[in-house]
Amino acid sequence: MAQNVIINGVTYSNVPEVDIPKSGGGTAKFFDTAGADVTSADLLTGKTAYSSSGSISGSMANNGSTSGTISTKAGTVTIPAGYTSGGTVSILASAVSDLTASTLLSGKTVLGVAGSLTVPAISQDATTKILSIS
Amino acid sequence: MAQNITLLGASYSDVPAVELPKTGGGVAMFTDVTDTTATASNVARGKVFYASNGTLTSGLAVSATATVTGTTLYLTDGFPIGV
Repeated sequence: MAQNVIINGVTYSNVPEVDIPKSGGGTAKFFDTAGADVTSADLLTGKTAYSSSGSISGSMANNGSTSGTISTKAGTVTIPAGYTSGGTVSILASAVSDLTASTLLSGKTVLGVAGSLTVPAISQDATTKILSIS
Repeated sequence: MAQNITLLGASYSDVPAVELPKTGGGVAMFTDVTDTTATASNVARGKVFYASNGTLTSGLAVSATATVTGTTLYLTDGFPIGV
């Protein structure tokens, strides 16, 4: 950003910064930060920056790696707001390995696995009470 | 941050900002930003801030993306707001 300012009666247009000699030598630079729009929520926790409202401190959570395992039918893994370095969310490995066509009823499909298990027909003789399983 | 500066022969200590009258009225403030610790990767994409060297800088941090392969969801590096 830049400003139109007056110093000692002289007008200066589009001034983005003011350079002033430092007491110990060198130059101190002061900037017009009106053009910055970063907010605390846009900035990681622990970091600071200057915006149009001056110095701000970050408030965005740094969650690091975000991973989880879904181990129950109703299980969920919540991805929290904030920064993540990445991660994976998986279904419990043993549940996946147990899920095969032969362990799933024919006509059912779970997570892309089509079941092939059939239930034997059972009948009972009315007189002898003998069960017949085919 | 603040600076020790010399102006018209006089020294001023711990000066965080300089105010100058604007041509249209009001005051323009010029700020020392050398204590900025944020870098582009710490700021959300689409937002701008002043880096410690006074450069107006655009944030580079992208939103994380989620991809499902098989029974696994893969989350990439980034800001997972809204995921």
